[in-house]
Amino acid sequence: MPNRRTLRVLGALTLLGAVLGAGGCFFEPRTPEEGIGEVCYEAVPSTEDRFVFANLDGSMECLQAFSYLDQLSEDFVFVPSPGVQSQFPGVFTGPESWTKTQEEQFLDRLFSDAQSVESQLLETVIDKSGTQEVLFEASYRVRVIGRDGSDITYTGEAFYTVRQEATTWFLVRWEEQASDNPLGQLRGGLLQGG
Amino acid sequence: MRLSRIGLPRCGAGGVRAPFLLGGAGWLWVISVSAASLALGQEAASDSIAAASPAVPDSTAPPAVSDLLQQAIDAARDSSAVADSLPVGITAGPLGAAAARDLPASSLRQKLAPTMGADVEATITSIRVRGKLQANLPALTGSSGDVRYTATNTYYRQTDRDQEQRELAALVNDDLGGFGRLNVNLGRTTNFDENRLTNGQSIVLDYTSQNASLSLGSGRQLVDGFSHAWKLRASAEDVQQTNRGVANNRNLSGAGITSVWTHQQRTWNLEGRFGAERRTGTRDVLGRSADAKATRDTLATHFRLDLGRDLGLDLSAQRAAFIEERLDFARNASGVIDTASTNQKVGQERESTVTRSVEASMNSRPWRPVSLGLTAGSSFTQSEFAFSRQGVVQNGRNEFSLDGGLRYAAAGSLRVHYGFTDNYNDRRTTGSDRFRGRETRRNQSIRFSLAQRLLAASDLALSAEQSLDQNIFEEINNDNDRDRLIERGDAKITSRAIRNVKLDVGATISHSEDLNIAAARVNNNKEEQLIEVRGGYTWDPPSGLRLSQNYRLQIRFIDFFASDDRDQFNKQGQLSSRVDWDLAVGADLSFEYVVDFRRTGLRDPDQPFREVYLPDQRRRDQRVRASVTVPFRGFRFEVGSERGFLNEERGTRVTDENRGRVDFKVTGNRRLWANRAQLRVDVERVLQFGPRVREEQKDFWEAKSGLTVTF
Repeated sequence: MPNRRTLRVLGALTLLGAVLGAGGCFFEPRTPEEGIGEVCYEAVPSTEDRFVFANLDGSMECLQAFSYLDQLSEDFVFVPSPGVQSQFPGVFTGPESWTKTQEEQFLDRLFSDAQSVESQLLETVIDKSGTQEVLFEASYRVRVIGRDGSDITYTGEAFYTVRQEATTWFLVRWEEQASDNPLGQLRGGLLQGG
Repeated sequence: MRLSRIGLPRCGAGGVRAPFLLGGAGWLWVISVSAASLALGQEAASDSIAAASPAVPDSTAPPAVSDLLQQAIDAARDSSAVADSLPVGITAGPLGAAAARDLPASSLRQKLAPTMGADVEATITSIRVRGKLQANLPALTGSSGDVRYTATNTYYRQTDRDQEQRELAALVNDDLGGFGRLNVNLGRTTNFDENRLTNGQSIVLDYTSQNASLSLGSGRQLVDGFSHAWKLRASAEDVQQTNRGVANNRNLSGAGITSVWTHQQRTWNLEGRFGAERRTGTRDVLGRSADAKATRDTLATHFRLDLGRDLGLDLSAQRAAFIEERLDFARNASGVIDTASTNQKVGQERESTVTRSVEASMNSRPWRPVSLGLTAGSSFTQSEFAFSRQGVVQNGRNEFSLDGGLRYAAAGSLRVHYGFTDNYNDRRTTGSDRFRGRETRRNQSIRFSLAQRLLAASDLALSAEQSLDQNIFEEINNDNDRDRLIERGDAKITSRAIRNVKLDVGATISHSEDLNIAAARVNNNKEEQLIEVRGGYTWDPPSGLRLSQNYRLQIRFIDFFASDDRDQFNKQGQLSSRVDWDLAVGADLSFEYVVDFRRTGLRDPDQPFREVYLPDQRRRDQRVRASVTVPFRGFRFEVGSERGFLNEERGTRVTDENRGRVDFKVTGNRRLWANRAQLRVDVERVLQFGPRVREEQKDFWEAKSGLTVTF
């Protein structure tokens, strides 16, 4: 005859199992529309460091948030240049305050406001170093044509750090250098603009 | 901060004196240190300090600078007897040793408690040097306060860039009795950043900010539980900023008031708060100058009911309004500066923002084994812009969460958590007669967790969680709609049933779906299955020998709904083994071996009805590291060596890589001069080789060290 303690434990486990078993799926995602042709950009598995940037460029140009966010590590930080940081103190509250959460908000805002995006994050690779964590020093060029007709090109240099986590490469750090019109301007402007 | 020596040592009745002059912020500290302390030498000095302060912790972890400063200040205040006996004199004055000699050095020193600190932080990308001076302000009328000066220079190793920051701040607090409490803040900050690009262009940021603020506040009890508190504020700021040759300056001053009324009873209290502020001045943008003004008012209320463990309830509501007229750059509909698409690069902006929010929370324990918690809140903000093409911008947030707990036995509990958040925004751009359509980001999650003691020294933890993130865009022709569903189950057993052994065993099963809703993007929809098992043990007998091994294996399937040819499989794992041996003399030996292995495969397109994966990559990475750490006179000296071997097969391409690294490291804290000085050392030299090690990374130094002195 099991004692009271054993019965309580079994009761709790049964309750947990019953809730999980009976509830099944508590939340249901929406049903996607039927596909109508070719996909704009098919992300490739980021089994090499450079594939991360190919996927970021392709995702930006096709306004695809999922495949863009898949390239970012959970530890991702964007570090703006000091000029950008001082320009948007309410957005960049610290040198490393911009994380994956802010990046997703930025993407939502960008992809809603942009008519089209042209992205070359590795326009010119100036230097590359590292083994399991690779540092790219590169110039970039991102052109954003807005739905209101605005046409702004963001250019500059950045240090990108990509890291191999298990089988996949992720972007963990994006540190921007000062330039005439760095991409940090767009990030700060979009989130400050509400 | 500049440190310069102004005289050679000279003989005197008290021995050789070595005066130094420290310059900063327009004032000079003249410090004379008797040769009696200098002649002691490091060993004798440390011995005498050890005798005077036996409670100095032998910690190798560098404490926070603020903690060190506070410790130093406290030590200086608390040990006045020790301080008086020390052959150290300090005076403060405009200039000159004569003025220094005329002042009552020790009493003034105790009042000022000046602290001087210097830090160096060198990483592979930059070197940062920081100096700091801090002193209490003399208590003339019962007031208290301090003044701080910080100078920071940063030099970048990989780019031709220098950065200089200077910060001077003064704070004074004074109790004016019936008039209330006075706070005065004065500050000046400068930042100069010059980045010389490879194309010969130079990008310069020049920023200077001066600000002053004054506040006077008081509070008093009225009748029958009523009380009132108030605060008056006045402030002024002058910001001069030039970024890439574009000036953006402002000069503003203003005043404000806050009034708080409270009714406090034994089990509840009600609070009402009102605040208002107005600022006026000028702004200069791109050579154009115009008046600027801003007003802000806030009205808030908060009710709290506290019936102990039975019930706790909080209700609050707030309304805030902000109106600002300023000169600003032209901005596009997203709020991004856009001077290229318009002829009017600068214009007079009028921004008005209204925010409303309500929040409620409740905690209760209706029955002893049961606990309940509930929070709910809602906020809405609307901003209107007269010049920017943003037009009208709305942001809102709704949230709700529920927590329940059941302690069904003394050694077991069951918890459930449900959370819901809904963030949305909408916009009506200038010239448009309707809103764009809401963008909503909604998250729901539910989590069940069970914790149960199994045997005398073993614990079981089970949890199951499901969450759904939805991004919903109401705008027509916006294809960003997407959902992400995650389901995850975890199990873990921790045991200390075997003497000196800690054992962990766990498993995780996870399933996630990424679903784009729009037809144009559904081809990227996918689901992912993850199975993970892990286990490890640590054998830690009292002898100082410690052995630990951990193993982790993950198997992951990625399945694209629209096609099979992109489906992936990967299997990866890690085995790490580590031996540490803490010797009785304080030395440590450690040895570590880690092997990572991985196999990936792509779905075989020739077998559409069977999930067959063709291996396309194998990878095996082994690392071995050995290190020795030896203590010596309060510091720890570490020598480590690491070798790595990578073997990778990717199709027909085979890669074999060898890499290695040797590092020498010194760490430690040391207190000098009867705890008045704290030396923090963390210096490392790294030598490494390998196919992807850059020239400047083959031999480099890293440092994070500093000295703080309290006089």
